[in-house]
Amino acid sequence: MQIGELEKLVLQYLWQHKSADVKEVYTHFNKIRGGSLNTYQSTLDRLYKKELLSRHKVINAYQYQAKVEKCDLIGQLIRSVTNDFIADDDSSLVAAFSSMSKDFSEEQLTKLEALIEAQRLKLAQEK
Amino acid sequence: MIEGILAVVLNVMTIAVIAFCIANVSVSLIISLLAQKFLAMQVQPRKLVLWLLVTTPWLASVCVALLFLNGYLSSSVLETEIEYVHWHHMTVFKWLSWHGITLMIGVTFSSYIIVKKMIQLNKHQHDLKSLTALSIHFDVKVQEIEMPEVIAFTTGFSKKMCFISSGMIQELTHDELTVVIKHEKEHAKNSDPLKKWVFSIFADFFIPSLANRLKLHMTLAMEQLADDGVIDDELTSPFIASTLIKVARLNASYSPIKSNDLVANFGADVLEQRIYFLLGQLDLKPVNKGITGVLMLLILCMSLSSIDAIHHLIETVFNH
Repeated sequence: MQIGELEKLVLQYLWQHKSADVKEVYTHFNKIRGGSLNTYQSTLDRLYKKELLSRHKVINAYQYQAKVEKCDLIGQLIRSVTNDFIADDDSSLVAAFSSMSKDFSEEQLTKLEALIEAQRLKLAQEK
Repeated sequence: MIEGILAVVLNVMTIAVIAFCIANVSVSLIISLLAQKFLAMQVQPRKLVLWLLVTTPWLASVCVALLFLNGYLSSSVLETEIEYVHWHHMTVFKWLSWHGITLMIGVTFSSYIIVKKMIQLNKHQHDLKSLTALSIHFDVKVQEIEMPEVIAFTTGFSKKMCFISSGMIQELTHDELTVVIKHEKEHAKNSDPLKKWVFSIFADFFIPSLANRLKLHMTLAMEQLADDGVIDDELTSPFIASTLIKVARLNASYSPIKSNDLVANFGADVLEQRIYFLLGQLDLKPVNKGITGVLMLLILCMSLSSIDAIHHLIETVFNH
């Protein structure tokens, strides 16, 4: 799934305002960055097709709402981008800091901390 | 039935597929027997050994194919003088024979791996663009992702980008954050995301458990080098190690600690190995180039000599 710059702005607007039709979106963005009504209509359509928005008809116009919360979408994208190198469906495209640290027990962490402290003391004594 | 130069090419390709399989099995045996020994190797040579291991089946298949081709082109030297390596009916090729089926399986499997990786890459690039669009600028080539979890990673091939979560920015001190960002920038400097991806393509030609083991060793080597690149007068190795522990604790607070799974347990060792490496607790030794060279030569000889044995073995059951 690819989100363009304008799509991101529209999504952020809908995350803030919960629900809006194309005219409200156009009125808001026209003041900030210009663009025609059609531009915003097609942007909303694209987001709807990507299943990021839901919509329902009110009289003659569609009311759009964000289908996913911002944190959910970001979480979904991070999971996709950082699929672990060693997993079966790996993407192998990421180098992560402490990527496997969560698979560790408290006891092991404490043991390692004691080792670090000992090393720190040893270095301090050498100085 | 195909005859002439095209048949020669297809037969040589079949030979390459068989040589690849023999070399793959040989390398798999080496990995199974010596995988734990890799941990005792110095990091940079270990990376080279890992690259050599994953590319050996390809190198062996190309060498063996070229030797057979050379043998055929130079008056069948291999067929007449070195009797243990020869190929029957080099100028004739039938798709509906074990030669043809072997070639088809080889090409299909290779295509499957490459197409799968390309689809993954395409999806990754799209998701990465979306993630970049939803993140905010934090530093040069560092983007901040608004989320409470503690996460930092580097990705991208030509345009490498480091991502750091707002949760991590909030939880870490200035110096700890410097460690994380410097670590991620080391990955970017070393082009680790690209190298990991290419490595994973080669590794995926091995059985999944061995492929995972190879990838894990490569991950560890890359992480150790990135950790090593962070050390300076201000950021000492015990401080980097304690930052790793802090991040591990924070990660654990967001997701339950897993255990008793082969990958997870071995994954856990990655953190332990990184800490031991940073604290100078590992007695890492250089790679013995002589033994490595002899092993590679043995694999090549085995691939070369086994072609004939396999040929005869199969043809006692099937005809051409």
